[in-house]
Amino acid sequence: MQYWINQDGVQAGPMTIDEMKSMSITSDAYVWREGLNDWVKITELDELVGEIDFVATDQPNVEPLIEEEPIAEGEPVAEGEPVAEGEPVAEGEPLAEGEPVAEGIPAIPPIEQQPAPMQQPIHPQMAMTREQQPKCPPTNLVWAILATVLCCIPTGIVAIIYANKVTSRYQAGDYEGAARASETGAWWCIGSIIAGIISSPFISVIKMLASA
Amino acid sequence: MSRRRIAIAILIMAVALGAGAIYFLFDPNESGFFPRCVFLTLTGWKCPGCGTQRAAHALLHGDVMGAMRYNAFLLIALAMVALCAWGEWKRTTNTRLYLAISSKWVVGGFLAMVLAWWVLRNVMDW
Repeated sequence: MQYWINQDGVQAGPMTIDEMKSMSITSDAYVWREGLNDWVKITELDELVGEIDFVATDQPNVEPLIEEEPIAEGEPVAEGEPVAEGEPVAEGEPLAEGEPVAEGIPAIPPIEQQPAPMQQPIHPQMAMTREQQPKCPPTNLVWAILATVLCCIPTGIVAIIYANKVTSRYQAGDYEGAARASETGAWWCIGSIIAGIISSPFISVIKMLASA
Repeated sequence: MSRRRIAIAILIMAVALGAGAIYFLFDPNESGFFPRCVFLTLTGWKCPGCGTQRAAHALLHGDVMGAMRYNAFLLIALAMVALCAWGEWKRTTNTRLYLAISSKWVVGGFLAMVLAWWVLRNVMDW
């Protein structure tokens, strides 16, 4: 298996795992091989974990240069060559992303597709609004209707009423009340279905005895 | 989460297929082992779901009019169930759709229809 590696904006490859072992690779390097859609952090590729001893990064907080200087799409970079501005591609012949390039070397995914090394922190205000509007609790309406129509016990109607309460309370902003109504409605559904299943044979027997 | 959803979907489909097979093969009018309506037996009045089993048998044999005769409400209820199941499937990803489907107008309207159907079928002997 051939690997391409990109650390601190310098791209190298193809190389084997054994060749990578002899290099000094930091744990924030990116790696790509055939079969991967995109560059992945070298620490996240299972087959390499435990194989390579990473060198400690001397500048842990510096963003990788690769973020800033995208190379031309799909163009293979020569070994060890620093990522310069991409060689100009002939006009009218744009290389499709990920398209295999001649000479059997797989196209290297464009650098700009590289996942951001750091998750963008969620703005505290956004987190607040998300928390303030929780997901609507289940209304159990499907089960309520099925219990009403199939179980021969009209208590399913109570479950429908509770389903109605869930949404009206949710829309009024009473999330706790909606959750409570959801739970109560669920119990009415379960109760109706169980009561319907259990009582039917008894009723049949009683009816038979009565008519006999 | 998605694995759980798939498991639930498969379970529901399996139960539906099994029940469908039973109601296709056996006619509740002739076989004695189908459950009887509790409400009808106890009170003498039909419940909103009375006739569902016979209607399901008719429906599975392509007899829509027969199904309507046994329980005219069943088709409406099935349509409602399908709509709600779709909404339920989308609940976490499309809350707006879910709220629209289970809004108080839709649910309240359906509830009113159930109650009206319940009264009318006993009064009119449907």
